[in-house]
Amino acid sequence: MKSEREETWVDAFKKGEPRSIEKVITVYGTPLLRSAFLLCGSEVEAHDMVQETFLQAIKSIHKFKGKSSLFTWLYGILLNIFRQQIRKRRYSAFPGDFGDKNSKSGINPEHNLERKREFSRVYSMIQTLSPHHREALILRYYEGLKITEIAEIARVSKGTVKSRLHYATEALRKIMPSDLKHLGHSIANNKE
Amino acid sequence: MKCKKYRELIYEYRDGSLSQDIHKEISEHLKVCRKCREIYEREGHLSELLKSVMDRETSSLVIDQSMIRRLKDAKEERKPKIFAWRWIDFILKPISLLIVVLIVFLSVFVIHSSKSKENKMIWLNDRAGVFDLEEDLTLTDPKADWLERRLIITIVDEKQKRYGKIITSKNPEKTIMYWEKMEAKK
Repeated sequence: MKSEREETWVDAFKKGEPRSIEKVITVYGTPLLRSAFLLCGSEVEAHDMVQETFLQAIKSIHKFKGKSSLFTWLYGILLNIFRQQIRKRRYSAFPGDFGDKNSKSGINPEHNLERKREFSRVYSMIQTLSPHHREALILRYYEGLKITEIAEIARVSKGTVKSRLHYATEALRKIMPSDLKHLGHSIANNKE
Repeated sequence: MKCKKYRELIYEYRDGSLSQDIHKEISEHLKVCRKCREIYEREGHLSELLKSVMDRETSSLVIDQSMIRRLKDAKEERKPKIFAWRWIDFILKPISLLIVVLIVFLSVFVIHSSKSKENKMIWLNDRAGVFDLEEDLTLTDPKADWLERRLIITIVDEKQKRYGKIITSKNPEKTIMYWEKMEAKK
């Protein structure tokens, strides 16, 4: 949903006002960076992808017609960049540096070590999925987008989105050890 | 609706993007069908798990100020480049247009002048080229009439005391010329 505030930024962004550029990057930069990291599995590559996303957005903001939210439009650019990278590199996953990232993450030392290890295992499993399936999974479960929104961003039909999601979740279930399958239940129960 | 149909709509059901009737129908079905309910709940649990995992893995990532600075600088650097390109475009377009006009003009001039030269040529059966009439031949009939699309030119050769007759044609091969003695003409 587009807010009135966003419309004001977009107008200023279109005019190339430096303050609006800063605002858009501050608001959307972090969510995009996190998604980019989930997509490519590399912090360095994720930063490059986000930087390129904003460069392209600044260059082609006149093409933004406001039919979707600015974030959806930016996400579409990011996804295109990710797909281009995949085509260039001809491999499904970037050489991940996600293991190193946690060392500087400032996570509470009292955090349950066991759960931390389990989470890392699940995350590594996500990285083994094909780019299309990983893409669908991230948009659905991380961004929390609806099927129609994913179809719009990924430029595929709703049927394709559902099929990719189904395949991705089934693939995850197959490779996921039984002890991890119960992790979802405990998270859900804790929330309730 | 069968279970398979309901399961296909599980994602939209969770999104709340179905019509009220179908949404209600699925809710009722989930209450009575254990298998479909399991699938729905399993999807929910997986969703919770994946969200938590992805949140945790990315929570430390924050866009840094240096990127904002770099992007703002990039925007500033882009401006003169665009201006420079426009300036080159502004200069190059008229120049290239002028060159094209000049080439067209020269081509027309060359074609025209070669045609003019062609018009001055007189084609004879044994010789083709510019025939110098001023030198030793004079046209006896400047009106030179057309006859059946042919131009008949009578020329006088004072030196050799003879008349020449050229019957031209658009086809040079059909152009003929013959000489008559002056006495015979008289």
